[in-house]
Amino acid sequence: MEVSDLELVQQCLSGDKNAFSEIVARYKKLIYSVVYNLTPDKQEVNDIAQEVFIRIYKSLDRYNPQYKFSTWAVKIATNLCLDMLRKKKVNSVPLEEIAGASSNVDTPEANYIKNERSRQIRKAIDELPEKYRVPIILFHQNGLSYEEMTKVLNEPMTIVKNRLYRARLMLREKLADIRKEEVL
Amino acid sequence: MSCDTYRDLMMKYFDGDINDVECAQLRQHTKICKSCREEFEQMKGILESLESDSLAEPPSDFQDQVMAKIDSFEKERKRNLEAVIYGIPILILISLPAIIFIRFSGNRVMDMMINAFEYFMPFTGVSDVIGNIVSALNIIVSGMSERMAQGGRELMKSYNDVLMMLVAVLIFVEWLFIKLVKRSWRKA
Repeated sequence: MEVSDLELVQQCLSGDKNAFSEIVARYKKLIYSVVYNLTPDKQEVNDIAQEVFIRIYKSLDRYNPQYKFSTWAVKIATNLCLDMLRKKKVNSVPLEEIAGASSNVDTPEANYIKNERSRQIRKAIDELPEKYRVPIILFHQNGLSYEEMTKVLNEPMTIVKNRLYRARLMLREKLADIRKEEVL
Repeated sequence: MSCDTYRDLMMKYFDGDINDVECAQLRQHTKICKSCREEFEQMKGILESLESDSLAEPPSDFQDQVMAKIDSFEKERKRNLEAVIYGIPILILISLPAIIFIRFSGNRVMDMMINAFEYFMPFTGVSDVIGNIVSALNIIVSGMSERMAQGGRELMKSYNDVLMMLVAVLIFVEWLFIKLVKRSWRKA
């Protein structure tokens, strides 16, 4: 039977480092992709994701078992990413090519269009104000539920819902503007 | 129903929280309403692209990198802890008897030190020079601290036993502290 997250945390707290290694193994994909989606500068993703796990390690004694471990970890990751962004105050978004999603069945042209499209979407998201950007990323890219988002963001359900709705509309408007510019 | 109502249904659709009846209503409406259809299609395209594009894989050695950092963090923490656990009590242990000793015996200690110095250094002139320097310093210091020392000495004379007990208690507490921390180390 698989050891539960809480048991792993307790093992870590009593000094078992292998238990933390298991925690990293379980949540590295989730944390890495949350950090990836929330960090405009992709070169920093690896460092920030590692820092998230170190923070998790340092604050294991403050883990509240009422939360799902994943929710708590995402909360730490989100807070760290936002802190980093605020510190850097990035005004310009680096034009990072997102090629990861391309499949080799597509023709080069189709690939290019697809990448171009996802680059535009990425850029539009990065330009959204923080309070709209974070919910849309957590919900649509990292697959968090509303319940989890209320805990990660420390906001009531109604506010989270409203922001997500608003974020979708803003995103659509932004991208519609880009299309109009392209047509002209 | 107005377009606003269908917009709510759209949001429910993207929340993944729409039931069959509502879904059918939405589909029906987007067939006849061009602006809602466009809005729905555009948003669907954006969000689907967003969702397909979200999975970034950590590098294969990610776990090792994290654990290496944790190891060096632990070592650092241990070093700091060692410095505090051993450093501070040792400092106190060394300095406390010295302070008390000098306080109790006053100038006699200084004389003893000069004599010892003379014993190890077989040049007679040197000890004279040192003696002069020390006596000069003594004059300066005694002028300043005479009153303070007087008060302190009197206090110590009258509470001699109490002070000795305090020192003993302090040393005992330190010993306990070191033992406790060492035990928690073994556990950790």
